[in-house]
Formats: sequence, structure tokens, C-alpha cells
Amino acid sequence: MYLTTYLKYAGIFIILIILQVTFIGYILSIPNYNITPDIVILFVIFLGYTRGHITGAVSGFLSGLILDILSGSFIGLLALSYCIAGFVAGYFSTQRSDKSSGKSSFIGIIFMCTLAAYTVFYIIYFQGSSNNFSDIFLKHVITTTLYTSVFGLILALLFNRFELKKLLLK
Amino acid sequence: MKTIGLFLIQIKDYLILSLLIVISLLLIFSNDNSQIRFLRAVAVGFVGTIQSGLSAVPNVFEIQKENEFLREKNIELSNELSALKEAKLENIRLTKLLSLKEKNISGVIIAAIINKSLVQARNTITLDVGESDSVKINMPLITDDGLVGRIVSTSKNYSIAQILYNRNLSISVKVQRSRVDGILNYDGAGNLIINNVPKSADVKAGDVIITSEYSNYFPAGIPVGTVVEEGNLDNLFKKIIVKPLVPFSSLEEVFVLKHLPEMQRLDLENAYLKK
Repeated sequence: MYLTTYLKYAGIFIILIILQVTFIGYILSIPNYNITPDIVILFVIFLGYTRGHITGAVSGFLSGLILDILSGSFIGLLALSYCIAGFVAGYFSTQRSDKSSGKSSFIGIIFMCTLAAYTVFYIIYFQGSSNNFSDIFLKHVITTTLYTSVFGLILALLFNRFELKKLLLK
Repeated sequence: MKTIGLFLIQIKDYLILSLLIVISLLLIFSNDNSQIRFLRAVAVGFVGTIQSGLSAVPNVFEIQKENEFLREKNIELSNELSALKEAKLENIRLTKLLSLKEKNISGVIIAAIINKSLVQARNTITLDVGESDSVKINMPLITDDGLVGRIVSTSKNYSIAQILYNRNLSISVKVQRSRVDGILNYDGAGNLIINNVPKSADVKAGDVIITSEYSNYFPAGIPVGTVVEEGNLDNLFKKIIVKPLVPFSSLEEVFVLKHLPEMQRLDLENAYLKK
């Protein structure tokens, strides 16, 4: 990849992170459940899916680290989670073909990668609390994963519609 | 080398992932809140479990070092034990000597044996006391067990004594139970003998032999030995073999009794013999 490509991805990440901590967190979160779609992880999965393990993992780590710093909570926890998501997405990059990379398979990949990332995230996040694993999984992991997957489906549809994918992969 | 390089290239994705995970975990553990403290506790417990399991695997270098340390400790403890045993034995001996002193004997000098000449028929011992300690020739030696011998030579700080196993020492003794008299001598062959005891005399094995009032050099009543057996000399007399009460081979300290022959009695007896 060229430097311009890296800079392009970095710029996209910055925009997504700003959106995530400002707009998304306030507008799209479900009240009382504290569930928010994660647009940053969607881009991490996209990069892992299209560019492979290393790009997915490194981009996930860096973007997660920035979000960690901005959140003021655990430093390193989102970095770890996103890193895993990007790396898992890389598994599917070798199997994909242009024809079969349809919306349904990509949604499945988003679901699996997000599930892996948020399982790690919430298990660590709730350590030492009175919540058991099933509660954490049902109330936080699954809900966030589903919401992010649905949001990812919408974005995928939009990307296909406006051929943004080609633009990103240039 | 090439194979290793190829292998590393093959697993580079996993190496990078591992590196990123490690960095993430380090960052997480650098936080300080209740969740992280709990995680740290879990991690420490996990690592502790692994270390506990690994501790069962012997470390050769550690074992060698530990072995050397234990050897040194063993030698040190052996020396200490030996010194303690020695001190204990010394304590027993001195306690016995002190109890003897407290019993009835006044005017004694405690002496350590610094040399033994237990050879041939003229067995002597050298003591670490001499004229400066008021030791004089002919003073008797005793222990808590019984009679040891007599001082025969003195210098300023040392003295030499004959012991019972000396051919030149004759002691007037008697059987404590039956009051039978006799003269005790060393036969030069390892036995203390009382010769010329009448056959009819009442002497049995186990009888205690003590010093007699007839002795001019030794106070009466000091235990000397026990009768071991009797043997015939001729039709009229028998000999009695006596085992000394004092263990001469392990003797280390003695009392010198401040007892001297009565010169008036000696002079009288000698004058009569010269007539």
C-alpha cells in the first residue's frame, strides 16, 4: 500500500472516531440500555476483510487506542478488542471472491468479528463486578453486536449503492 | 537458519497479533481501578499456579547450589554437635567431681590430666598442678569413683602420679563387707591382685575393696575396686583379682587430696624396722 492510502485510512479513522464519540454516541444510542452502534469497528473489520490480518489488527489497535484515550476509561481495552476484530476479519479476506462478497456474507463477518471483539471487551470490562457471564453476554455483547451488525448492513448497502468500496480500495 | 526465517515469515501475522495483544494488556494493566486490580489478582493467581507447577521441575543449578549450602551447613552442625557432646560429657564429669567435693572431702585440689603413660608396668599420669598449687609428694589422687594413685614427683606447675596399675605402688586394703585385710599390687599383666589372703577368709566376687587404716599414705575407706574372682596360691593362701572402680582409660580430671603421711608414725615405724 502507498503512503497516501495509509493517510486516507487515517483520515477516515479520525472522522469515524470523532463521529463515534460525538454524534453516534448521543443520537443513535438506545436509551436505558446504553447500546451504541460502533462505526469504528466496522471500518476496522472492513480493512481486515479487504487487506488482511495485519492491516486489520494494526488499524484496530491504533483506532481502539485513540478511542480508549478519548473515553478516559480503560486504556488498552478497546485497542485489544478492535485488534482482535481486525485480525479475525483477516481470516475471511483470503476466502473472499469478488462475486461472493455479497451483503449477506459481509454481514455475517461483521457479526462474528464484532461478537469476538465485544466478548473480550465486556468480559474484561465487567471483571470484579457481580454480573455473571450470561448476563454480560445477553445484555451487552449480543445487543451491541446486533445493533452494530444492522448498522453495518445499512452502511454496506449505501457503499454498494454509491460504489464507495471501490473508492476506498483504490 | 533459512528454514527458521521462512517459518517466521509464515507466522508473521500471528507474531504481530501477539505483539499487539501484549501491548494492549500492558496498557490495560497499567490502569489502576477495581476491575484491573481484580484482573491483576486473577493474573497473579494464574501465574502463581504455573510457577507452582514448574517448581516441581528440578533446576540442576539450584540443586547444586543448595547441595553445597547443605553440605556446609552439615559440617557446621556436626562440629557444633561434637562440641556440645564434649561439653555435656565435661559437664557430667565436673558435676560428679563437685558432688564428691561437697560430700565429705575438704582440702582437695582439682587437677586435669595432661599426659598419660599407660605403658609397661610403670603407669603414670602427669597433672597440670604442682608445688605452686600446694601439691606435694605422696598426696593421694581420687575421683568420685574411687582411688586413682599417688603423687610421686612435683615441679612448680606440674606433678607426676603413680596409678593403681603401677608395679611400684602397693596399697593396704581391706574387703569392706568382711574386713579381710591385704596388700593390693599390680601384677604387670593387667590385673590388680591381693596376694596371700588366707583360704578361709570370707571374700566373694563383687565385694568392694577399700583402703585400710593400716595405710600410711591413703586415708582409710576410699573405694578401690571390686572383687572379680579368687584363685589358689598354695594350700594356705589364695589370691584375689580386683577390678578398679576408676576407668583409667577415660580418666581426664582427678582430685589431689591434701593428705600427707603422718611423719611421726612413719619415723617410729622406720626406727623399729632398723633395730
